[in-house]
Amino acid sequence: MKLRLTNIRIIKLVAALLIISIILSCSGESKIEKDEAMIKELFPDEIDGWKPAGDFETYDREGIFTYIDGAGEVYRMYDFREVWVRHYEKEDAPSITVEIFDMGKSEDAYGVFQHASQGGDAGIGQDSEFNGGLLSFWQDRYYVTLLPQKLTEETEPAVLNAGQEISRRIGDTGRLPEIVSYMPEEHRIQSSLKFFHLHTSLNYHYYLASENILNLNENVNAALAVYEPDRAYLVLIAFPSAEEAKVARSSFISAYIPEAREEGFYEIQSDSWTAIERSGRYLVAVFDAGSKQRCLDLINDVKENLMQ
Amino acid sequence: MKEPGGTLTRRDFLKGATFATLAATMGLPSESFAQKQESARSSRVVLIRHAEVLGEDGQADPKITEEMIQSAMKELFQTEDAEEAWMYLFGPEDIVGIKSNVWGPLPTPDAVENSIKKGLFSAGVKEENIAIDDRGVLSNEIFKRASAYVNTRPMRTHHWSGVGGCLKNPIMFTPTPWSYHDNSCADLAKLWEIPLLKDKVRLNILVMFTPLFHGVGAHHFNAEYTWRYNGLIVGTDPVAVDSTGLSILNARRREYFGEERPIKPPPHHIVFAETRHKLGVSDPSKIDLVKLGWKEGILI
Repeated sequence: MKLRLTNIRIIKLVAALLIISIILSCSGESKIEKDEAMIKELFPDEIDGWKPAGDFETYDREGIFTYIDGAGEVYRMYDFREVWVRHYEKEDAPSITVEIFDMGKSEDAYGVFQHASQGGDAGIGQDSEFNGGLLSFWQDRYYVTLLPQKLTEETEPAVLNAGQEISRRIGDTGRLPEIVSYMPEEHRIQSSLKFFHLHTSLNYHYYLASENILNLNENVNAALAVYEPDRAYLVLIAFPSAEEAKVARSSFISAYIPEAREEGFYEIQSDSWTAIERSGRYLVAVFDAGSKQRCLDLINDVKENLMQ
Repeated sequence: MKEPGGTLTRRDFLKGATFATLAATMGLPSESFAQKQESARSSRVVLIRHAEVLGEDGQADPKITEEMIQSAMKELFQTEDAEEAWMYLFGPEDIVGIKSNVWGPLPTPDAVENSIKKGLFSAGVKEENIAIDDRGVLSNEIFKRASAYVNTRPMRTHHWSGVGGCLKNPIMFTPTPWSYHDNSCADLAKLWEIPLLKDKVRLNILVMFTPLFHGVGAHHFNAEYTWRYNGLIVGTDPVAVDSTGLSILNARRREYFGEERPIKPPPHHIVFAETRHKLGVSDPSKIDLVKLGWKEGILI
């Protein structure tokens, strides 16, 4: 009798598990399908007479290398999920390629846009630029690029119109990385503002060292900007914990300015100061500043922002 | 000064280490880079240019291209004729892979590939023992059996390694190219230790017909940032060849932008190819650069 009851319980348990797994697998599949459908909906059905040619192409974090020769790593430095691509064609006109990158979260869409941004807002999405025929913008969790095979009087307005249409279809806006809001605005060169996680990004914007002496990693948020008049570089890093910030500060001092010891300020060349200071889980570093006082001013500006 | 193979920081460049190529790329003042170290090595590199190598359609003229390569070979090996120079490197028993580059916006021109083939023929290499390939090198039977390679591609700025030149071109010799991407491709020179390749690359030809000196967008290409330089850089040392090409790109960027605008990311793999991997010479002051042909707008 006891055995029969146990068997019934086991059968019930297996049935329940089966139902749960079916529900989970169904909902997972439908979510993927829903995401796919949602991204496809962002592409215009037509661009001023240009019609879609061929199917959508899509590349994930691994496949990105086959699509973008060598530049896939730039996207992988952020929370890149996948890119959707569609080509548009029109008779006797250059083709137009539209790419929509799903960056996982708005902060990283902002980051990847700012990565190579040279400034100059085209008024599309949350920030955009239109250089040499290439329109790029970010909005919500998407980074979008539109590139005509050749920039002509016809393709230029078409690309801009298509960008506006995609922006309208995305609809929502996303939030900026919180750390960016702590960067002082006064005397900041606006196009120099960057958001990143890894030391390869830091080296891209400001070559510091061949190795990761600031312990940057995927769990770290960092911002960099250049300030006039001395073109000092300010780097602000948010670590998950104060302890990690402390270790990173020690690592930096030991590898880069051992002469500074615990003070954290050092004139590495005439009128070129480097400084590092910790504030809780944040590290503030200044490079190429004209004086020690200049380092202090920038650091204090950040600290004031952090306290607000 | 630190050990050459260790961590290099911005301060090392500022201290006057012999990394002038990278320092210039970083936009640091050139007077900071006193050439303090003596090097036992030097590398000969030939830069040859021709005003009319490119037609109006941008295609390379096969005859002029061949003449340029032949002249460069004679000069590189100080021989009476080009055939002798080719025979200096290759012989009838050789099986030769020509590692080309098919990147859509800026591939290795056919004229360059065919001129190399003719040079190999002149050294006695049999046609059936020559293959040209890029992305299929690992499955190409000639490449798998090759006793020697010629390495050729156009010079361009590159989203991840700073520049793509001869040092980077063998990336297809690994089934896992991304495994060389760490730290902005700092150790690309390790590619040259792959057994299939090691010590077999006998000639490097960096195509400077229409180099890409700046990149934008997801694919890092816009024809606006190419120009008709009409040159080839030829040498046996891939580090010296790339370093010379990089100097020209830097000069063009100064000319175009009207200011120092460092290549991002800095192509430090060229320096590390010398300091960490001893593959060749990156310091321009130790490169024996011979300039032939058209001089207008030479930038170096």
